[in-house]
Amino acid sequence: MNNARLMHGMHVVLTFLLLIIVTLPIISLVVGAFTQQMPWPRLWPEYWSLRAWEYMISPTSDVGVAIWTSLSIAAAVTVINILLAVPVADALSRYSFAGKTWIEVLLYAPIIIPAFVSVMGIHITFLRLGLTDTSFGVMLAHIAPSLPYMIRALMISFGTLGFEWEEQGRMLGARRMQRFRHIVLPHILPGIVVGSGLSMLVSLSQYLITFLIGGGQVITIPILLFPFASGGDPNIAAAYTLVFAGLAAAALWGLDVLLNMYYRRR
Amino acid sequence: MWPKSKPYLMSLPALVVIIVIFYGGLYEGLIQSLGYFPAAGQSSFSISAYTEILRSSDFWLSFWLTLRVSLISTMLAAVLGLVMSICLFMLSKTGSSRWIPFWRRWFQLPFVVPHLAGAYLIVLLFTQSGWLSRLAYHVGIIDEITDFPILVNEPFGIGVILAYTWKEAPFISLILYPVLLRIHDSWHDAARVFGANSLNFVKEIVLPLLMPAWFTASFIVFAFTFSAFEVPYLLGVTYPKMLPVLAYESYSGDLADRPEAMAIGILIVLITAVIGVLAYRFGRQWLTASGRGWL
Amino acid sequence: MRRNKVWITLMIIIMLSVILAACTGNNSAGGKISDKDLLEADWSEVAKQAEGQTVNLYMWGGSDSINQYIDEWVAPRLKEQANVTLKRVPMNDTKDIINKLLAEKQASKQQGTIDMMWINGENFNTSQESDLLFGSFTGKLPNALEYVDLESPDIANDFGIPTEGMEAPWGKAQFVFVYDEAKVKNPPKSMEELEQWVEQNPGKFTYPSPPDFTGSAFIRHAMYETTGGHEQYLDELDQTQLESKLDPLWDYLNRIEPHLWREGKTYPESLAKLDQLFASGEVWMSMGYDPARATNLIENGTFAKTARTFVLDGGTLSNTHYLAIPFNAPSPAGAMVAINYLLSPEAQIAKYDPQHWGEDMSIDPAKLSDEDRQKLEAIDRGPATLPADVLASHRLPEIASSYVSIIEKGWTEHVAKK
Repeated sequence: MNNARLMHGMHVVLTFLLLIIVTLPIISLVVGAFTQQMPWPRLWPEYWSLRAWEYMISPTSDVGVAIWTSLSIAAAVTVINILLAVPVADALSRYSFAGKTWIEVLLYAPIIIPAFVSVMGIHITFLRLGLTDTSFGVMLAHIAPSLPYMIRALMISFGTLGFEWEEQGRMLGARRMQRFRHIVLPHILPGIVVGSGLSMLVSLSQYLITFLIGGGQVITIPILLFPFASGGDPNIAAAYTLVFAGLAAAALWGLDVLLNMYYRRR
Repeated sequence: MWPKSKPYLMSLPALVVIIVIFYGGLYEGLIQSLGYFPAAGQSSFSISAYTEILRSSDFWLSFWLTLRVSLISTMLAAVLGLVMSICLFMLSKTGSSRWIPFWRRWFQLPFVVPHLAGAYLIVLLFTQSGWLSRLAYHVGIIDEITDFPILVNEPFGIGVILAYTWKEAPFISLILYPVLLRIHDSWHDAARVFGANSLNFVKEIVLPLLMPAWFTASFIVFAFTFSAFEVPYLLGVTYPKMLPVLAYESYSGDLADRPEAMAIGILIVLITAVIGVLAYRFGRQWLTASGRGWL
Repeated sequence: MRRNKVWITLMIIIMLSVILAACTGNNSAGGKISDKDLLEADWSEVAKQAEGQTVNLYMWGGSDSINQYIDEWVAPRLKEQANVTLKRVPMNDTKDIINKLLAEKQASKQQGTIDMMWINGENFNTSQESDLLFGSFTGKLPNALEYVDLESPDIANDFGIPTEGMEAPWGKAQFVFVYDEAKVKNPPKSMEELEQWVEQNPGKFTYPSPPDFTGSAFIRHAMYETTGGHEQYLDELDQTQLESKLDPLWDYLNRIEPHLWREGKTYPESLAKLDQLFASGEVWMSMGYDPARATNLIENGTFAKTARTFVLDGGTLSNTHYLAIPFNAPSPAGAMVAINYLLSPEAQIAKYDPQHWGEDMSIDPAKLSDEDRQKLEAIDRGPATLPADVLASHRLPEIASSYVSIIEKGWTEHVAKK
């Protein structure tokens, strides 16, 4: 019965870790968004307040604009990532050719090397090309940090595909596009979904890059959040954070829904 | 001839984009750090920016601070992430909990909070006027607000470490979990036949299989925490600043200081590149996903 | 084939958002009288050109009450009266605005996105030196001519630098200290008294570290009082002369350091952080350039109801802050019209009202009509705001902004690193 006790022990450890680490900050976040400053050592606010949310709803908070901009940039970045990553992940995982390793290294580097140095460097060029202060420029700048995640997710999918299925299809007379649509695409779809989730998260969370290139004209949720989080107003910062969390969760959930819709139709 | 160049053509779009935007930016940063900055009237190459900062004590203090903070954050996140994923895995194996998918999702909550909000959450919890301090008072551990230890905005960087650990542990467990899923049920049964209990199973089989992915993930976290900006900016201290904050503050200062700012940036790039090389060595199988390695 | 339709619809939606994303963030600029001529033209021509324009106002975005004053009070009225649309762009730090303009100037970007910016002091100095400004426009604004005392030294000079009309005064600030009446019975009214106070109340006081604007100002107060007064700094001093006067200042700051919050091992990064410490009770005093800020923060629940303000017996720093137009503003005519409106009595009085922002006017109350003056006097600025005459009789001038950075660097050298 060693096993059972070990299992129980693990369960306890798990729950304990979980609660403390993940939940406590979330609770304080939620409370923080619905209250005002509490003098120490109150544990619970004297009275709740919707002040932060009244501000959120008012047009001044720019929340609507920010949500739309954040989402559209993230979506655009993700689409471009998919288009770029599918061919290259295919090549890297199913083919073997000289220089493959170097290409992988080049493509994965942005996961390790911070993107902000590159953005600082390219800033003047973007300025000259008129790409600053535009969502389009910001979108371009978001590609570098998010693309590697998409590539990796797709490589995992392609890795289990092999060539045999497509071979069979070809022998049965299917043309390239058909083979792609009916054989490859369904197989790599989970990879696309995982990659899209990561890509959207990375894009939604960017602050420094959006700020450097966007120049204040491109308003995303992190941009609005920052002045309030660096001390301006903790309640409003908490409210913006909740909005962001809701946005991110909704984006991921949306992707999940799409995937399920797809599977149901098969 | 055509089939041979096919993979190259397929890789071309992604490569072109990354090279132009990412490496182009690094290249321009390098040039600017070497003093070639026609926009500010400087057009001669020199490494004076580098000698300046390598000689400045500010830089080295920042460097050691950043190194220390990233190392500790990475280790904590790695251990925590490992424990999280193994616990989840073992529980699902013994089929004792139908709550597994729920727990998994819950563990991933920190993902939907961006880093700068994560930093701010740490402030909410850990400052002397934060939640834990109030809890401590009510539980009787402390009497005065000043009795609560100083964990945020202090020179050791504890707040930064806490914030990074909270955000990166789920990342590591997310990377590890798929690897664990590939451990066939039959292996567990076979192990039991040979008399191994679950603890042995974990030690002898699960852990070694996880090592490559674990090391790689840890290196990624290390590189990230070394070079990220938002969290130290919000949670750090006046002096010394962490390296990315130092770089940014120089960047937004005088235009004449721009080469120094870019030099700091390039040094950060070099350091993370070295880390990346090490990560690659350890996790080669992981990256190529050729099916033989364990992702 | 339904699956296809799903994908196609999705693609279309995404493509649309890509296109829309590319289109947002653009600013329109009208065809116009050339910028140079704008400064020569008649006001009526400027106003006509401004009609239909949209102007971007770049300013600090961390205060909900200021944001709401601009968005909800000023913008609709400006639109109605002059047909100019005012768009507020929130920034984290004014320095970022200057850096953006510097970068644009280097890249020769003739049409930027900033029409007006809220600046003063060091940032104005940098803008002038680097040729980032549009030109001398204040003298064209009818409201400036009518209501502002343009000759007065604290308006004509911004931290010792003559404004030459290149920025228009928007409001006045005076440094006050904030304290919690329930915890501090008798707040210290001079640097000497402060030193005694921190010894008796260790850990309950701190100031933001330079280069934060407020922290820097606190140090200047200490400088005035520990080095023998402010008059000596009104002359032209070079760097060595200035530095030679500052030893008593560093001694003082180092003496009080161990009694400060965190024993002075770290200082809050910004005024906003100091306010947080004050609001939660970790420290018992805060400070700042806005005499009405305490009242504002009591009203929105951030500060305790017992927060009050005081000035030093010897006086506190008082200065003006301004609105300027950058060299590459896309709609300079609209910017001038908007600034003109912000200087109007109705906008200034509304700004003075704590219901909206609660900040001192830049226009001269003596020049107001009787009716307006009555409106002004009817406004109650709240229990935590000192009356105007107390503030006025405790004013000290600012020193030149070039000295400010020398002092800030000195602080880092002599105090922070110890």
